[in-house]
Amino acid sequence: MARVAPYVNGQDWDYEFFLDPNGDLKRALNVNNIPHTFLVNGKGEIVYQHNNYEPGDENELYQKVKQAAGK
Amino acid sequence: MRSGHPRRLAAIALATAWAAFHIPGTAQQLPEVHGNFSADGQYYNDDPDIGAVPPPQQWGFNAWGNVVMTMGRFQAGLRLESYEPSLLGYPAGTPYKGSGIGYRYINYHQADLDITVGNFFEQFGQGMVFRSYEERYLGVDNAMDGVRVKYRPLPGLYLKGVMGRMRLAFDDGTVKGEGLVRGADAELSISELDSAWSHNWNLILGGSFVSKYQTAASQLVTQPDGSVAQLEMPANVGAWAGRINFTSPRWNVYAEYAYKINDPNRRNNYIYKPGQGLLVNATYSTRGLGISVGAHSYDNMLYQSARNAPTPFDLNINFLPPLTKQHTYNLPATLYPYATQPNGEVSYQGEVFYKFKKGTPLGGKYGTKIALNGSTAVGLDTTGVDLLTDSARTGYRSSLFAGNYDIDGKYFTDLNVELRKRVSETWELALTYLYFEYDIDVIQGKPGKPLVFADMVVLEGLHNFNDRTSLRFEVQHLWTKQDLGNWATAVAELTFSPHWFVAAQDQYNYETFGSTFIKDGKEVPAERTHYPIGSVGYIRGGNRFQVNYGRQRAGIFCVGGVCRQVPAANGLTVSITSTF
Repeated sequence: MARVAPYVNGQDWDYEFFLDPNGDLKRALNVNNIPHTFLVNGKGEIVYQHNNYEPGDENELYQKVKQAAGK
Repeated sequence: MRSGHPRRLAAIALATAWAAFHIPGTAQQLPEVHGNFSADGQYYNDDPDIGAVPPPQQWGFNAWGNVVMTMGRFQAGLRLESYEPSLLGYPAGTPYKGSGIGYRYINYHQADLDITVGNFFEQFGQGMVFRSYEERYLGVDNAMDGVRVKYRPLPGLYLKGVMGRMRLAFDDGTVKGEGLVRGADAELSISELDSAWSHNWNLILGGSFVSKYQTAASQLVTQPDGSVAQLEMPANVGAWAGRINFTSPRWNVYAEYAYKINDPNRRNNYIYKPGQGLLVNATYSTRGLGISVGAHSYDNMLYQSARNAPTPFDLNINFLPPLTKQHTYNLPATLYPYATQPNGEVSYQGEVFYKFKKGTPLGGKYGTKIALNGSTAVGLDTTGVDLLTDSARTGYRSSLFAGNYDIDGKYFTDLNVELRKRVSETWELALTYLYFEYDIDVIQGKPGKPLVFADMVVLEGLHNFNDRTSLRFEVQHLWTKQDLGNWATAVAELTFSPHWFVAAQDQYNYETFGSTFIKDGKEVPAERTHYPIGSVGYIRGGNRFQVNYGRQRAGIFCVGGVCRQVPAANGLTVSITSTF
């Protein structure tokens, strides 16, 4: 758990990260296996989700973010 | 930690999750229902060449579904489970069978108060005296069934109380252990006490007390001279822990100490010695650099809510965090993974992540990432106390961090380095070297098995053909003169984002150095063996469908330092998961 911050910084990733030490968030969102992506709009509604990650999934996510932002 | 500490971050994240489920105050408030589903079915072939024996039903099937209903401040949840029969090697502890209710609760929450009746998971600090958690795919679930109250009397002060019995197994419904577990935890986060706090550092102090109750009983124990002694087992066994955590934008320093009063049980030979544990870790990180060091020592800290629990995986009240790195490449992850030794170990770990920036001599056009990691675990240096003459039955003398550095005390060493580099617009490569020393006898509980010295090299490549199509491959090799000898593994994975993937893997145990295995109930010399397996998967939104066919090597499956043995198998696996 404590090794997450050095890992993220060591990768030079520029985004915020949060920890879910006992899986409470995972349960609240009914996630079976990770990674699992949720896109939440300004009203706090889940407008898109995707299980797993494959290279290129970020392109679809980017389109969905633009849609959610109305752009 | 870039901002805040884990406890608070988790709270923020949870609040976000709840917010996502709430329809903001409309006149008529409708409940929201969400849930998930997971099913894994496997058809087993007979395959004596790898020691794979199908169960009498010829197949295994694990499935469960959760439904969570939320309305305003109320939430209720239910999980139904089915094991008809359970997959081979599942779960980690006492077997699961049949179909029924595995988990149900009702919850009420408001800003400063949260009450749960029924099943719940909870953890105090890093879990050294209390952690109830689940790793469903590993078959770990020690859910509490009782009551939990969380209360925040003032900003920055968090109180929790739990009471209940833990899940032991499953037989047409959850089977609970006999022991009652009661605990309380308080945590003080200095920076949250005053909203005018302007410093970017924080200090968090916490303390827990836990007690288990099991009917007092006499226990017959065989003494070293063959005689039988009758011992009186205590009904209540208490444990406490204290922790301190300092955080700043670059630093995170954490220490936790735990103490358990006498807890004679099956796995410590019913000795009355107290248990204790101390863990310390410190991290420093800034953009492009991360450093972490850690040390811990555990002595007689297995803490189960039944003194004669059927296996070490059952009814664990606490969780002893591992320091060793959890590998993801197949050979190091499943042949020689380390599992924490709760009855006594000393362990150290150090890790550095560094990114050579773009445009520097070592960074090149895209930057280069390097990760160095090392860890070691040894047994405690103990001096036996004669059980026949010691009326206190302490068993042995020891001190925290006084390790046994002789060859027979060595449990595990892992030194590894990984270089990862994007070499062009369409290619990324990673090269990893690992050196392991691994005591099978102690870690896997197989007396007489040797200390293994192994070297491993892994080359991983990722090629993007276009925005949606990629090929990822791994070539792995393991050299050792002990145990099963040398292995070579190749993995190829073709992905068509966002929906499809096709993967093939072969593990080849090509140099066995006279090792043996069990074939048709007899021990025979191992032969060169291939373990091919192919997979196809389809993902759509929160749903995933996957089919595997091939051989699975007998191995070990671990999450967070907790492992289960998986027997060899040959067959067809179908998996479905869904989040809704």
